[in-house]
Amino acid sequence: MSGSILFILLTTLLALLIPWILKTVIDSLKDYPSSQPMLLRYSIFLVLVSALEGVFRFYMRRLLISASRKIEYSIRNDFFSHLQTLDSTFFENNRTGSIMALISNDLDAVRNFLGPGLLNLFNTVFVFFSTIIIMFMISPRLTLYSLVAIPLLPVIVSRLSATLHSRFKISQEHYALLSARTQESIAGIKVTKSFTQENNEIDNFSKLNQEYIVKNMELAKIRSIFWPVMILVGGIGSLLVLMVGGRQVIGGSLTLGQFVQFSSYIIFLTWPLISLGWVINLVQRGEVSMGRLNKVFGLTPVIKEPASPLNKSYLNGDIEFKGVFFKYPVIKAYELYDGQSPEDKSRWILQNINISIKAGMQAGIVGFTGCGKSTAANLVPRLYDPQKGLVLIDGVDIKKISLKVLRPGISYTTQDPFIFSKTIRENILFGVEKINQSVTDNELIEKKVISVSKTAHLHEDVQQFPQGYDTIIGERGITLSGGQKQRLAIARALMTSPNILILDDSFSNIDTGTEELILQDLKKNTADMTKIIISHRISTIKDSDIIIVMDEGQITHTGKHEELLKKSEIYKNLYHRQQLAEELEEEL
Amino acid sequence: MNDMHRESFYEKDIEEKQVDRKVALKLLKYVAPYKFLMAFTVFLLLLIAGLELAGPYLIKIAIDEHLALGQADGFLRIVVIFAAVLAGLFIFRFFQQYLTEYLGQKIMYDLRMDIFKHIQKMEMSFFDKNPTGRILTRVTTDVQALNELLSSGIVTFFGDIFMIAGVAIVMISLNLKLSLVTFSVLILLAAATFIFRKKVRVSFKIIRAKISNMNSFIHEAVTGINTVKLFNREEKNADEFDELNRSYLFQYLKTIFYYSVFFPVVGLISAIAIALIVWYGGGQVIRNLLTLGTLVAFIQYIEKFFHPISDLAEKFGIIQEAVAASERIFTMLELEPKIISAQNPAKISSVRGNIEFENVWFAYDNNNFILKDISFKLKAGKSIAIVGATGSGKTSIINILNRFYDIQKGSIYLDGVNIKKYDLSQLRKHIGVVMQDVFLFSGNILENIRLGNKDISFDSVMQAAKYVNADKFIKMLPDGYETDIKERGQVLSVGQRQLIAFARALVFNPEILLVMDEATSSIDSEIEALIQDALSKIMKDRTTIVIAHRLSTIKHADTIIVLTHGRIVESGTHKELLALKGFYYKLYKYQYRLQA
Repeated sequence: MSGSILFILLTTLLALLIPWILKTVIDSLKDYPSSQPMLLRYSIFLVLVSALEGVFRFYMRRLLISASRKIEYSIRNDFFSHLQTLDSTFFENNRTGSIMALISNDLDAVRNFLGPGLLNLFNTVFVFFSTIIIMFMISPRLTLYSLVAIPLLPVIVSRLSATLHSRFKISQEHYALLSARTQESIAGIKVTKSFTQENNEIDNFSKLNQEYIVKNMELAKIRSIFWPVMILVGGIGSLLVLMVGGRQVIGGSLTLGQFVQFSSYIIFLTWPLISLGWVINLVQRGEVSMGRLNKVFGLTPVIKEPASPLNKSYLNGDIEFKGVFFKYPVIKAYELYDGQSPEDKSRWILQNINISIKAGMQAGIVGFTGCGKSTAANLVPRLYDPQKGLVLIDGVDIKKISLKVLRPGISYTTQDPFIFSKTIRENILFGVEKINQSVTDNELIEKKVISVSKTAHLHEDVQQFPQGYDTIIGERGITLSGGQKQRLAIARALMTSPNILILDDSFSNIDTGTEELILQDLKKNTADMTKIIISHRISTIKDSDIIIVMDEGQITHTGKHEELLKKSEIYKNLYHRQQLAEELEEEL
Repeated sequence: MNDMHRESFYEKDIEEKQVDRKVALKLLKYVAPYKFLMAFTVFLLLLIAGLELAGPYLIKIAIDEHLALGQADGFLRIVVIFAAVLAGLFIFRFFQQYLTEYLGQKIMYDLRMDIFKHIQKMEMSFFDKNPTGRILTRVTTDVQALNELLSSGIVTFFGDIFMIAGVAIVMISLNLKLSLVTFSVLILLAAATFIFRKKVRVSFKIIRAKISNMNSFIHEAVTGINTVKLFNREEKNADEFDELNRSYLFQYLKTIFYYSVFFPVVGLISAIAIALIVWYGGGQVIRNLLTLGTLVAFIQYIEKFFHPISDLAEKFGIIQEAVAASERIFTMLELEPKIISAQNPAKISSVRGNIEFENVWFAYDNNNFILKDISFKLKAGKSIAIVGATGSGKTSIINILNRFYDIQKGSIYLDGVNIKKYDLSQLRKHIGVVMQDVFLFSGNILENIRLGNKDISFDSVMQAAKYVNADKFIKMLPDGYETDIKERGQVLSVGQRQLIAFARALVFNPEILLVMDEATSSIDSEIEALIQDALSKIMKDRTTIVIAHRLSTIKHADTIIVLTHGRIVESGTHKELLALKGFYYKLYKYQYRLQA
């Protein structure tokens, strides 16, 4: 950075030398009988100065613009990494398209400020002051005249830029809204199409789009006045120079050469002013956008690496919930975020949950939809933290365990598993920390990929794809059926060899026959793993060591299958009704 | 990383043949509606250029006629004219600037609308193939890249050209010989520009593709954030992103070098022109062949001549990037939607709801048939239940009836007319779908039920919600119908979402209803009873195809179709199937066993 400032300085000084050479030429032409060889010398000198200036200008540009791109690169990387540390609550309360606007549109504005903005700002300041110094050396009086309008500048600039700032903010916020709306419209296209709401979607989008124009035109008003005003301020200077300087030349107190030189410098003074207008534009926009980015940068995740994690490098697998109360936290979107949570009127999703699962056990959780089964599972790998009560693993509060120990120790397959647009192999390897390059390791990994796929009963399906494990899955995993997706998710979970395995409704799209086979293989191959299986299908969990029945956020009963059939009304009902459906499914 | 995969998810960033001119023509089409406004701003530019040129000329007159001669008379007049020129410039510049921005905003509005409309028209397989992040990039970032070209580019381009032409004309009229000396350096400029263009040409298309790829990656990382966290993928993801980000950076750094060279070169060429004038013109002044004023004016004009040239060079990057972005926009706009309405669509005045499948074969990709030779008839107002294991093709039946996808062989008829002969939106208007995974938009419950369609009143939304038993739980939510649902919809349970979907279907009151009833298949609870009740209510007197697991639903359907591996293995009424003693008979037997 300091290097580039030096280059800016050198470039400016040389650029100012050129009018001085011209002045000398003109004065010599007017006052002395010049000779052709002398003119040649001046010409060559002119070209040399300009060439040298060019060299400095090259370095100046390259250094500053490259720097701005590099800064953009690191902000983008930092932003992405920061985003990944944020709590699930953040993503729950901010729209995807709006987050994406930050990393594209706002970052662009910041870079434009850092690159061309700073370049021109430095340049402007240097040119401005060095020009004034030289002008003073020629004629202090004339200089003062040419600067008459300059005091207006701070007044105009500060008033206009304040307005500019607030209007940029409105515009950038609206852009984020537009982006969010578009993103949802693409994601929900199926609903729109099946209800033939395309025209309605278009109308709604059109309204947003229209509002965006209106907001931008409010901005344009200020932007449009800025540039002409700056030129006018410079113009007033040259007008006064013409008027006063002209009279001085006529009166004989100023040479014609000095006058010409002075008019050249006035032009030098006008350009910085114009560019100042432009720079202020970039600065304001960059500042607004940086502010928006900083709002997100300023968010600290609630769930993060403990300050002094326990010296614990693996999980044994005992899980305990102690008086856990939980509801999904609500926060304001990043644009409005002020550190305070809005009033939360919702009810507890989990109320006073007490569970104890010993290492190596298989626990089943059943209950109706919305009873809190999945929410309870979310708390184990700390996607969320409970508001009251404790979750313990191996008798230790999980908040004290390093996330780098906790999460790799747990594999949690969510209800609607997210499959990435990668190959099947890459998806299975998703959670594997490091893939070593050596051949033997690769063979080992390949073997393991196949073995977990076999356990998940995915292998047979994969073999039928022409490209096998290299088959690519579309953005929404479209080439896979619901059941295949779930089995892929199970394979992915097994691949990391966790100590705790949580399967949340992972068999809902898998027929009972296959489910049974998977469960058997799981038992065989993962005997020492603590397993929590969540299902609303009794068959899935009936062989568990402990079964937990949940209803409306509370545990109603715990026990084994036979006990629960006697104790729990809910359990009994579920069991009888489902028996049929499953047997039917098997038949089909 | 697999190469094939890169191709599908990431856009190709290989330079194709330059088609700049075509793109420019297409962009001009967007300018066309505003041609008068455009003409006016160009006219303003002409005025500005003219006034700009007047400045040095006034100074020349001042020098030659007053200052050099020591002549004070009339000097004040020149000063006044100069002041008027300044004032004029101020006013014209403001209007020119404002109108130009207006023009740019209008054109971007039109472009955004066209892309958005086009997306709405594309068939489902388009969305299967293109990641959301990529499509989003077209509507947002790519249009934004046109901003500068449209808001200042086109107009300054004209302005600069006028300026160059105007300066050239004035210079020629002042002194032909001097002008020719000045213009001689243009050969150098042409050569420099030629080399420069060749060097930076390649980069911008690649840069746009890289931006789009980054957006797709971020989009996936954000939507799949929980999976990323659960599998400790943060660092690896950051590395992958770094790779994309870095390659984007390198492309830019490449262009920066050429830009950094080009500007000083333009400056040098301009200095050479001035040096030539000093040397040659100065000599003429010595020999009294040229006035000093003309020489001074010439030197000033050379500056005015080269300024727009370096300005154009500066804009060159913006233009290149905008061209690359618009090329990608137009490529998308030119994709013809494959599933479209018939040319002369059959009129639908009132749909009765007779549906017939005739030897239907269907595959998502061309070889892998999901449905094989499916034939069945469904009379208006009746219902069909489709039973079968996952992957048997049940969902596809729904996808092809409302033409999300078109079938490869056979025909589907609605009221005796092939569905391909109807107007697409008319067809879909009469077919309601209750989907398995209920998609919720950000917004409140009310808007989610009526899908933002303000033609549907709050009352009818409430009625529909009441009818499907959703009203009760909605009223219990913190803000009732006004309760905000976030993008990921944590507020509602799966069962509640299902009821919302029913209300959605009902409020649009379609004659035909397609229901996916799988997700809640094994839920049994208070809400389950509500769902069942709602389902039987909305199925009443409505042609319904229901994909069901519930015995009660299946039994109540007028016809039952049993599907395995894409083929119908059994079909008929409840009684007929019982008599068949096949799959359905077994099903019934279980039911009987429970009752016993």
